Amino acid sequence: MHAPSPRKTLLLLWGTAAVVLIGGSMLARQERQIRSDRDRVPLREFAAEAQSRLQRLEDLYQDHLVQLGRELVPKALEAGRAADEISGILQVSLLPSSASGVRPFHTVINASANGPVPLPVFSVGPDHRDAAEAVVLLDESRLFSRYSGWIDELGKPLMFSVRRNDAEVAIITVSRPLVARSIANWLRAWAATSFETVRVSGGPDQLRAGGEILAQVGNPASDHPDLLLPLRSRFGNFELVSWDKRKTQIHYHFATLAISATLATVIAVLGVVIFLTQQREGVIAARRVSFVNRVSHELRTPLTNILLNIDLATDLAEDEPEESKLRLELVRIEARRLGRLIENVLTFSRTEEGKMEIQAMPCIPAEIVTSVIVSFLASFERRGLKIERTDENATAPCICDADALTQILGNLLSNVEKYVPGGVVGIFTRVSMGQLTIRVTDEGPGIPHEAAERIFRPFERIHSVVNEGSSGTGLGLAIARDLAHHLGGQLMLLSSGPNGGACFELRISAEPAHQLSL
Amino acid sequence: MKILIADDDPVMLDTLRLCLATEGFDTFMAADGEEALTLWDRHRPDLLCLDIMMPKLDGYEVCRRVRAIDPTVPILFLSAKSEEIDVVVGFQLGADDFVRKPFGKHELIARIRAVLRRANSVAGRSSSFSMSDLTVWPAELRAERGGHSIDLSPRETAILRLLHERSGQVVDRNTILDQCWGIDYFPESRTLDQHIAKLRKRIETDPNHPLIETVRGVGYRFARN
Repeated sequence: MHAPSPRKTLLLLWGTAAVVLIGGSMLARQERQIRSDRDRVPLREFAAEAQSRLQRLEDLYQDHLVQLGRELVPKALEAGRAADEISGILQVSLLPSSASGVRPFHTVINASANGPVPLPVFSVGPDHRDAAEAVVLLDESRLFSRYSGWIDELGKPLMFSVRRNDAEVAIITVSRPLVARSIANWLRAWAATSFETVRVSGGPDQLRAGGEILAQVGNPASDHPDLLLPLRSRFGNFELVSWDKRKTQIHYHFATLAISATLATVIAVLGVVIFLTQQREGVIAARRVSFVNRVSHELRTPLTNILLNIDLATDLAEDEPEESKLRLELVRIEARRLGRLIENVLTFSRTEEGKMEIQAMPCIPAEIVTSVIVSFLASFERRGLKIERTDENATAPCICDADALTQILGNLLSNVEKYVPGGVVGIFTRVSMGQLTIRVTDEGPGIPHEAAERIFRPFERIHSVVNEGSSGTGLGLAIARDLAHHLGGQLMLLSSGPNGGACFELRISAEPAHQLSL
Repeated sequence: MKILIADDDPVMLDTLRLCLATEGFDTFMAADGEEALTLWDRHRPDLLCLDIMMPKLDGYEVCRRVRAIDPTVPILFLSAKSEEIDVVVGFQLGADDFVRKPFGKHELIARIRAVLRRANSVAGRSSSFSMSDLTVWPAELRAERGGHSIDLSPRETAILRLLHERSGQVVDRNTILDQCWGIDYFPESRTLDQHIAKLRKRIETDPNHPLIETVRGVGYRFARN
């Protein structure tokens, strides 16, 4: 399965950390609402004034009904015209006393939303039994015993009675919703200005009619008011409602918050650690691939030189035997180059696996230096490089790993061969106080100061762009320094400059051989 | 025929020079991309052999700059880079062939001949002359007999052309050396004889009726009949 990229992993874990932190904060958050009483004097004053106005409105309405009842003419047209001037009237009736024997008069003024308006009667006669219309039975003696008044009884429409004389009563059937609507409209118009007195206390307060808001101050936080002031009316439910002041206090549960924050931090840090690890592994993997490609590349060039020179040596063997010999010498040089490359790759592999072993044995440093120089002589000559060698007490036997020393010096001279176009190559060898020092100097382009340490790291070269500069695996100096450490010493770049050439110094432990043999 | 070789490896450069020189090609050598461009501009060689990984300018860039000016000159990449993408990039920049290292001398020469042949064929420069039953295609560095192709070096081609131009006449040794090796080149007398001997081995079929006759003490002659 393909592993997600480091960036994706980081984003995923940071996202998870953010979710944990937000979730924890939400869990830890505790809200508490605190109610406090308000100054409601203006509201109560308004309620008293509204109640008074409602009462006066009802009294006025009642006066209109009395006047209508007294002046009612038992003719449908005239009765309708008179009743139309008063809102909310459904039907007017004139009921004679039972003893008079006169027929009652009824006329409908407005249709009711609840179906036909029942006819008021004092008694149910045979004609009513057969008729389809509904009737409402009234108490005759009661209505003749008073002048006027409301008939507001359960199961009956709202009616108003006016005794016209001892033999006749006028009954006016009123629609409660229609009158309530008229009152609500009046209240809305009146509150448009008068509700301003309530606004001083800040609200939230409402004037409502049957749930409908007629006037409002402030915005209530809930549907359930803390105070309800009903306005009494025969026609509907009018009320003033009010809410207390509310303040929300937010608390966080410390333990929950702390746990979520810790968890989120751990996940975020884990993300960074995994990101860095994956990135490092990616870089190492890319370097390994690059290394394999470079090694492959480096193997091909000397191999081609070997093949071509063998072909040339074969072709020229008969006609130009001297040139043929030169070609075979080149084959030898290129084979050595291949050998050094393979040795470097194997050493690097052993170092990576932790299997690097130093095999110290008696040897003579000067001889080792000579053998390495000899292997480069022909190549250096071709490049115009002249070797100047200085030895100080280098012929004394000492204990050292000859192979490792050969490899270090070989890598240093290989770099000279690769990067230095000509001039003098100085090789200084000295054994003193149990220490072997070898210094290699050249007159090449030198090594820029900023690259002085970098060149000792594996896969690093001065020019790391693949297509640019001389080819190479980028392992030579890294292996040389590693081997120097294993030999109990160090490899340093002593000087470098744009034109001053490079000077590498190797210092390793080299105890005299005769001392150890004792 | 002039060939420009560019490679940052001095051993490779020297080896390639000798490989091509022994086949009769004139060579110019560059150790980096900039030098390659300078030499190309100065000598306008018939073919370029470029390494990819070179200092200053890489082979791809050299190829791109040369192609911008001369879209026809054959270009060969000789590289240790062997990934498919490297080859594809080379061809996209206008290379005619891509020879992966390692390679031997014979493969290299064969590839160079093939590229030159294709280039001359495309350019319509291919013309031939006949020497008895042998047809020589100088621009393609080859001859043909009975449908069988024989590869020739530039020098062998030059010798055959000279003998053909003066068919029936004896061409003396100095004339051949001057015209086929150049005035500045002083090969040993033995060199000419060795070349003629090698050439004969490849183009002669009947020793009793040779195409190239030896006129003792003077030179050589192509007998028309």
